[in-house]
Amino acid sequence: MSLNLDELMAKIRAEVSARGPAPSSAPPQAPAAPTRPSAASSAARERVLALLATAARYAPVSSLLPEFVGWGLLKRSVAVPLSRAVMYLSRFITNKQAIFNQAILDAVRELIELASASGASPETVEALRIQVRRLAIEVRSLQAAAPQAVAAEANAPASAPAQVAVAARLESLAVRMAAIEAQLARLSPAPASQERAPEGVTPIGRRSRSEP
Amino acid sequence: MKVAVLTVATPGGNLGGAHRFYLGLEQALNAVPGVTAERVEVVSDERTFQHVEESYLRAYDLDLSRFDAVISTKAPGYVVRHPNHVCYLLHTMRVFYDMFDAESDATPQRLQQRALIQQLDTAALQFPRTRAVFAIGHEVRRRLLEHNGVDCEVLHPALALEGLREGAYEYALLPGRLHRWKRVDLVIRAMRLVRRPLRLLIAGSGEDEEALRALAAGDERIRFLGTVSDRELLDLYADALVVPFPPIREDYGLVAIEALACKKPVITCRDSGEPALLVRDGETGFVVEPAPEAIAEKLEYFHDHPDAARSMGQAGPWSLRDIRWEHVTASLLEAVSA
Repeated sequence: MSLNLDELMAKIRAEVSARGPAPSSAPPQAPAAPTRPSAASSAARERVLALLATAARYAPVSSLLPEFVGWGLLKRSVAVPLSRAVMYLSRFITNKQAIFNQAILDAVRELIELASASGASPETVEALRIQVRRLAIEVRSLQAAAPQAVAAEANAPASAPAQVAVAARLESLAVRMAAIEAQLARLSPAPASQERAPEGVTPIGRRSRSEP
Repeated sequence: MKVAVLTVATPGGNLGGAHRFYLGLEQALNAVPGVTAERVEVVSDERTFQHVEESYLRAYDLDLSRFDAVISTKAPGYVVRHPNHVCYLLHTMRVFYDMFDAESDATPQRLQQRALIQQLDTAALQFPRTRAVFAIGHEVRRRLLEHNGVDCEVLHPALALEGLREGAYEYALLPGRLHRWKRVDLVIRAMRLVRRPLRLLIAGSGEDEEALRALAAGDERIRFLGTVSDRELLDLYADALVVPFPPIREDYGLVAIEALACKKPVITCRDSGEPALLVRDGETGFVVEPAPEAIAEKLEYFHDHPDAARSMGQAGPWSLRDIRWEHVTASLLEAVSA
């Protein structure tokens, strides 16, 4: 049996189009940027909630006794009151830590509520903003380094490796920033970021990327 | 040479083994002089068959023409169109392959969907659309040959987690996603038969966490640690006595590799896929029947003989000596440059 991928994909495209507008129903040679569907934010939200549940279990440090799993009855009968005494004595530190932990947990929960109201997961928005800030810093440091690389290779052949490498890196970073800012614009009604791609660096495409 | 490493993310993002694999591959390619590798991510949503179809279209419609070469890694990424495309396969969508019977009803509609996906994959992985196909393990290669008639070379990916070390030998550790295909329940059931004060630490989270917690309820020796950071994971590995890892037909099993690298013996099962090939029975761990009794026996053995755990562990890193990123990148780059 001869299989033709293009024919199979054309068949799928027709089915998807018949069902209604879909994220990837663009013509083959003018593809839409791969974007995370709305399920992304709900899945991320579930992960945040799971992490919060873990954090909540360990937040009250001033009242968490060690478990002494595997200790014999005799050892436990000594260890438990002893550790209670140690914990009591260290409460002037651990109480503050527990209050801090609870405050952080409450703050994160508030953030989730706020973001839910605007339709985007706080984890997603904040992570993207952090990525943009990091990328902007990287771009600036590369731009600062570029003149030195050019000067160092003033007498080198036209395709000096350092210049090429810096230019390629800048281009790559600009593309990533554009992709992330586009995601932010979709997710958040607020201005996507204070950080913009530096002048002279033109985004040449839009792609998503998992890690900064 | 500008190389795109085409990765596939679930809507919730990449976590665990695949994420580490992508990171390691990108870093290893960038370490090769003259190569600039960049990850390009496409989202694959498998909630319904309609979403699966749309995911295939997203990958097919990607324009990666500004790259000199593309290395795809996972379904549906390999349907990408690029004249210099090789596939380094993590896995196809297993619900349409070896896990079909376990996950789906064999209705005519489901069977038709399975046939379509297998046709798509087979067509996509043909030369010249895909210049070469590599698999991360023999298990993946076997499946590809059996279902798609596509043969490939196996390249075991190396580790991307740095700082793995040997510490004390104290507890049984089971890290990873808490999903039914990982069969964590087998180890919890085994613990019911273990008559020793051996602790079992389960690190990770996932769809089946609640059910597994319920299954382990009442056994104080079993602790669920939730999601842990890489640093915490390194510490946990360091002081583990043994790593029981009994998944069903696992593609690769990074957990087993990481444990062996930390000089920890691994208990895996005969039907666990690649880990059953990577663990040398009686030398770097045990390969047992997928039954709680068999796992329990080996857990008790290591508890009673920590020196055996230590001496088996010493052979772990040696058994991994040929698993190197340099081998992987050399083969991949040779294929795209040919």
